[in-house]
Amino acid sequence: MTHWWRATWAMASLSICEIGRQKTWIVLLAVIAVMLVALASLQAVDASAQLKLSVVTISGSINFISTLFAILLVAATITRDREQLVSLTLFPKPLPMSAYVCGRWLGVQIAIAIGVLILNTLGTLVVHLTADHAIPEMRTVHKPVDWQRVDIFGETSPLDTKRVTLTGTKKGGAIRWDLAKLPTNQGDLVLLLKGRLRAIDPAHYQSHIAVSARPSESAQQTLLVCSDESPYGSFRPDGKPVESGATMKDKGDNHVDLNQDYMRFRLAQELISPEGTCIITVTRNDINSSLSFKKFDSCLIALSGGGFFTNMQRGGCVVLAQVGYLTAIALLCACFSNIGVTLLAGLTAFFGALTLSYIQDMTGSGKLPNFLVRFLELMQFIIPDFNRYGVEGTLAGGQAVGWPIVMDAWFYYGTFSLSFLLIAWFVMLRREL
Amino acid sequence: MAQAAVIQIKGLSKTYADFWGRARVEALKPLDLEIQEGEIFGLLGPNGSGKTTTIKLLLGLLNATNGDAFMFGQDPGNQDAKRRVGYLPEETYLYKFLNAEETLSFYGKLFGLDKTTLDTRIDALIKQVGLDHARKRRLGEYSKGMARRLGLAQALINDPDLVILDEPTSGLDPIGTAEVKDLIVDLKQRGKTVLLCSHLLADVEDVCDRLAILHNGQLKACGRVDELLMSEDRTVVEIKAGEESQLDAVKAAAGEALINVDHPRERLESYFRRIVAPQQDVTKQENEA
Repeated sequence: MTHWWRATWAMASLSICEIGRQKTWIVLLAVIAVMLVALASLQAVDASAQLKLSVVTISGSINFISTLFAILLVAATITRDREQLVSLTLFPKPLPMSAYVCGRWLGVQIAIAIGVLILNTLGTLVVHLTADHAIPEMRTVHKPVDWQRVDIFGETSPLDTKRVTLTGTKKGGAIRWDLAKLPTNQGDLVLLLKGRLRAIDPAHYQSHIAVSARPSESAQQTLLVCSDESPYGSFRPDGKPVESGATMKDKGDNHVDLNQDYMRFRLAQELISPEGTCIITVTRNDINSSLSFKKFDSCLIALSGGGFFTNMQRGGCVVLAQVGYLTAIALLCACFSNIGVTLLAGLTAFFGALTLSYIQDMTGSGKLPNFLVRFLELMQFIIPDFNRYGVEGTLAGGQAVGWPIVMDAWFYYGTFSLSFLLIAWFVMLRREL
Repeated sequence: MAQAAVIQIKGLSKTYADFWGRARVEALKPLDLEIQEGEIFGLLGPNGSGKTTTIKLLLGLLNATNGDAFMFGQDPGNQDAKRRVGYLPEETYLYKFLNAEETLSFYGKLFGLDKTTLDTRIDALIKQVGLDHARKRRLGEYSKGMARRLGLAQALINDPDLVILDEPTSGLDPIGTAEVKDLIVDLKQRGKTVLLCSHLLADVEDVCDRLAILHNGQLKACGRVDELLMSEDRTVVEIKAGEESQLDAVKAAAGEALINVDHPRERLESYFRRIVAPQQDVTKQENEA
């Protein structure tokens, strides 16, 4: 096993050296230059939109460039081993085929990781400069474990749906969310709240609600007041401050920015039980509009999610998981084909993974012939979804990219990568030189 | 005491097939061969005779159609057997972005050599193949001969018990060729086994103990070089120049059996070495100074 690791590391080091000496860093510099020029020309309606745009553009371009680079590097390095017959010198040595395949894959991964690290660092710097030194605040969220409907008499009834709408001609209908396992040692927490609003009268595009909290079922409810940092909710439509409760705006499913789309309330330490439980109740006080909430997205507890730079790097780890898949598929093609076919296959896999959700929509539309539907369904077994984690959107929305997301991404894309690496190993074993 | 067989080949054959698995070329017809420990064995034959195919089969780079091949009693491709083998392919296929030191270091690592051993061997081998002045230059800047020398060094990085050299002198100048031959003899003196594959008859004749001749994938001859090359129907008598009376006596005694009387000729290679080598030594000393 020690020899296997040594051989793998020797191949990985060789790949890194090869990539470095191909002067790919020149292309990297060109990419950075283009990114800077593109960012300078971006226009947004206000500073916060400009910040979001910058984050999306930077992280999006880093993802795009990294994945394309992976295909290019694998195609350039592995096919050369065969076409320039270096493999004739390589394989008479005690180099296990699995060590060769894994070493090449690892080398490309490390090279790309170094590139992503540099690009992310520069990206953070650019965001810092273009956003007038305002690095976005990153948060991780704690979701409720359960929710119930509360009628105007205070009676609760369980809800088995993931969305509920409060409507009717009487005030007082409410929703309560049960939160558990909240941190009890971090002092006051921040409650985030949003909902979809529908009004018959366009004048009622804002709706008054009351938000209260209590540590347990038996405790007294405390009315929460919108905090000063809340992007909205503190003022009535006429511009006067809300004396109690908050003024809600329509924020639908597409509004996921933790900094912009959620009202904020300070959740005092005493409103959380020593066991970490808390009950949040939102009462509808305006009969002119209906309110719609989602079980896991409307009521959240915001916790600090670390710095922007750290989150960019964790986002980079998710990108690396995607790169790993593309590296593996390009490596497989490079084992038995030339550079052109490898590039073509890698790009097909890349764009297939980017558009998988659209492919899924097409197969479900019923407009395609059966054989094509079957074919597209089969494709989904070999192509993962590159939009599954939406790192750019998450970062732009001020939401932290946590280690669980990174691990999940590595498990998801890693399964695909491992499958293709195994096939590549098998192909190489069977291949004659 | 009987010598151990380092290489054993029993009925080994190779037929190249097309995409559909149909037999296309019979590159090697059933071959039986044994190479003993400590000998220099030459594999001779014209282009396309099956020499390289035999070597690739031995190293596990090709799959045999029929028969068996063993190195140190192990199957082709066995990792333990590969640790004891050094191989120089017919052309120098090395990474052009590495320099000489890095190349040897990389291949040394594949053998799991520790850093101290590796550094010592790299230094010794680079000096041995005469690339000390170009050890930091990338291979992309090497001439064919220089690359060939480095190829030879990489084949010896693991101090192998069996060295397989496929056309080792291809691309080398006469001095380089002679040095390679000296190296092969030196390997034999150190108890190594050498399988030399070439179509240059002089190379094989000069250094090999035994040889096999392949033609169209078939073994045509195999045995000790002296035995194969000895003409049993002729005898050579050598007499010092100027001893005319003795020459006349021999001529008279031979009578009609005499075929030819001539001065023996020096071989071009030794003549070339005699003329060029001293000058090269002076140039080398000047460069070092």
